[in-house]
This record gives sequence, C-alpha cells and structure tokens, in this order.
Amino acid sequence: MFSEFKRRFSNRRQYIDLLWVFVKTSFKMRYQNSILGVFWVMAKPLLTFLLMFQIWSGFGKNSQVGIFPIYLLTGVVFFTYFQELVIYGQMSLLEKAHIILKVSFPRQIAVVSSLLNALINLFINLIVVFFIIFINRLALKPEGMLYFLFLVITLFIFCSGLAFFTSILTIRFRDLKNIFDLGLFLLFWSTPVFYTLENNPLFDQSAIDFINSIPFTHLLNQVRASFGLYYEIDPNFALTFFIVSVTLLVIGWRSFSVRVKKIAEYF
Amino acid sequence: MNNKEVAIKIRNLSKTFMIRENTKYTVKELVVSFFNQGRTKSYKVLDNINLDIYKGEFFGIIGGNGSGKSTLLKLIAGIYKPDDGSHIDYAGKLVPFLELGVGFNPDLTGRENIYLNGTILGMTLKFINTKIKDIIEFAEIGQYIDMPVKNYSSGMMVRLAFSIAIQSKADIYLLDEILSVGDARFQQKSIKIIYEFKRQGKTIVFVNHSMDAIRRLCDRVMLLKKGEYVVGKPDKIIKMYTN
Repeated sequence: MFSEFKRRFSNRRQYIDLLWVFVKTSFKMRYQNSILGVFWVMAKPLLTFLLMFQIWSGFGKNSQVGIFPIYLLTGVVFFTYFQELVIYGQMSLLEKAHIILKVSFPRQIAVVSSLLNALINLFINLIVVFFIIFINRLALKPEGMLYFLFLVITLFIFCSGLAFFTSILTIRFRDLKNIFDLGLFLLFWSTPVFYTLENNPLFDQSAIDFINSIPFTHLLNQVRASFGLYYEIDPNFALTFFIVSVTLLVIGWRSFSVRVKKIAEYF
Repeated sequence: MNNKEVAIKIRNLSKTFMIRENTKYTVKELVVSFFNQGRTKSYKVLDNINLDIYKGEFFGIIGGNGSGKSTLLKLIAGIYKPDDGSHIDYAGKLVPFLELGVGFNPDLTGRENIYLNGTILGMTLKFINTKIKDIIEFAEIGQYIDMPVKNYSSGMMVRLAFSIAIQSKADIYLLDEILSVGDARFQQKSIKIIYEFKRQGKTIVFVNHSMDAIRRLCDRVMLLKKGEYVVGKPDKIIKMYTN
C-alpha cells in the first residue's frame, strides 16, 4: 500500500507529459517576443559559419578535407550542440528552482527537458547543413548518417551524465557557470571546429599533437567521417565513446538520485 | 478516530536546517575562506513529531511565523528531506498546493498556463483536455483565456490557479494558505469545493492564519511552536494559540 515503486510506475504517463510540457515551454519562451523567433536557433552557428568561412576558406581550399563549407558547418553545428547540452544541462535545476521548491516530481525531468532543447536546436540547425550539402551535391551514405545519429545520441547520453553532476554543483557554486563558459570557449579554439589540421601552415607538429590529444578533436573527426569528409569511421572510438558515455550516465544518475533529495535546501 | 484508516503516518519526524553564516556561492569565496569556513549553525525546526492523520480528515496546522508549518507540509510533500530516522508514509496520491500557480509563466496565455501548471501538479495532458472547459468556467476568465497572464489582474491570476489546482485528482491534499484567494464571493465558492473534497472522503492538511476558517473546517488541529507541537480539537488548540 505504501510502495514507492508502485507509485512511481503509476505516475509514468504524467511524467512523460510533464517532460513534454517543459520542453515545449522552454523552447517557446526562449524565443518569445523576439521578431526573428526560431531563426535565432540557426543564427549563431550560421553567422559563425559565414564569418569563419570568409576567413578560413583560403586554407580550407588547400586542405584535403573535402568540401570545406560542409567541413566547417558540421564542425560549428556539432560544437554548438555540445555547448548547448553542457550549458542547458548545467543550468537546468537553477532555472526551475521556483517549481522545485513547491512541487515534488522526479528532478531528472528538469535536467532531461533542458537537454532535449539542445537536441531540438541541433535538428533545426541540420536543416542548414543539409541545405549546404544539397547545394554542394555531396552524396551521403546511409551508414554514414546512421553513424552520425549514433554520435548525436551518444553525446546526448554523455552530456546527460555530466549534467547530473553539474546541475547540482552549480546550485552550490555559481562560478561553475563561468568556468564552463570559459572551458567551452577554449575548446572552440583548441579543436578543429573551424580550421583544418591537414596542410595548414599555421600549425607545427607540436600544435597538431596537442590538438589531437583532445578527445573532442576525435569526435569532430568522426562527425566529419559520417558525412564522408576525409576521415575514416573508427569503430574503436565509437565503442569507447559509447562505453564512457553510458558509464558516466549510470554514475551520474545514481549520484544525482542520492544528492538531489537535499537540493531544495540549497537554493 | 483510532479505528479509522491512516492516510498520513509520521514517525519521529525531525528537520534540522544547517545554515552556514556567509554562504559561499563562488569558487573565489570558497578558496579565500578555505581556512575560515565560518560557523555552521543548525536550526531544528521540527523535533520528533509523531502523528497519524486519518483518511477523510480535515487537519489544520497553526502556529506563528517560522514555527515550521510550511516546512512540515514540504516534508510530507517530499520537497525537503527529513532528518535521519524520520519516517513519513502516505496512502494514495498526494498533491501539494503550497503555492497557487506554481510555474505560471507571465508570457504564456491562460490556456497555455493551464497545461503547464496542470502537468506540474501531476495531471496528464489527456485529463487536462477533458477538464479545460470546467477550469475556465470556474475561474470566470472567459474571453481572456487566450491572453498572456501578465495582462491579468492578480485576482484573475489566482482564480485561474485555484481552478487548475482543484482539478487534481488526489486522495490527500496539502493546502498552504490557498483558501484566501480572490474576492469574498470566490472564497465562498472555493470553500464549497473544499467541503466537496471532504464529503468525498479526501484527506486535507490545511495551513491557515484565519482561526475562523480553521474552526469551521478542521476536525483536528496541530499547534506548532518552537519545534514542539500539540494536537487536539480546534476550539481547544485555537484557545491555546491565541492565549
């Protein structure tokens, strides 16, 4: 009669609906009262792409990475996806503090709903990517697209695990927001989001070695591989990335479930 | 009452808040004050409460500001974690109304806020679809339902929030000062609804500063004072409180 287990399962439908309403509302509110509305989702990666293309296309043409606009755009869009997953996940509990203090519901819903907004933004941005692909007549392979989907989902899993830690820590230490902003800024410049490493006279071997030592570089290479650009699909990377992501999710979920019980007192 | 079915069972319930003087929100503050962590003070708001609230009972909680009334409701609702060794169990579905219009977004329309607030209160979208007419009608919002709620008067806002809240299907309701919303006519209408809940055998835990409402509505009342408590008939407890 007092079984928490039974209660949880009978509430499954209402939790799915709550997740949906949270996702819908925060997506809508992000662009409410703005003239360009949902275009702002695309504006940041698109303008970054246009600017970087203007500056870097000279080097891009000389490299062997394939069609440079697609190389550049896939990098910018995928980095934006990662950036939003990290930031939205980190701020998810703080943004819903006013609800968390008044109603009891699985707090994981607040985290996952924020992350789903990043996923929606990615799909909107992919419209531009596929438009550029269409213009450049790049032939996509079905297995490549499946691999891209795998990378998108696995990164979502990875960032969910991360968010289960950071969302709670950020309530206690507000500086983490700035630290993560700085970290993402540095990651943007230190990984080949917009530049190429191949045949690029700007980089010596030590710089290339450093950039290649950053795991996100390999993730970007794999994203480009899925679009058939220069790199090869690396099954070892895919497997390692998947195992690390699932492990992080499991540890993050368990840690979150224990620590979240006291968060209402931390706000 | 002892033969009645227990709706909420509370055993050894204590709640201590650890309040650090000079709370550190930034890493800089944390590093700078590493050797001077400041004192952490503990405030025991509730101390060893043992209580059975019965099914169908209208149970009132009174006490001065800071006596722990809202904390007790939040503990029952599962928002706060009680101290180790405390036990709270309840039978059936529990819906807390600790504040009307939780999650209301001023930029969303009344209709959109019904879906937002309704799901936060544990309703499914399917259920809200079947109740939306009743909600709008009870709130007396009419044609303004598709207008952003930032344009509502405060009375309209709380009427809408109350109308959503009462649609929640639950066995136990926790009400924190929510019967004093709207004008006198709407308050009467609201109290009628609460009486209807009582008639249906719902359990209601009710925090209110109006002794008149407590006397009229409650079967038993708990007085909280400095972590201690006493439970009894409304007249007796109100007399203790007011004296």
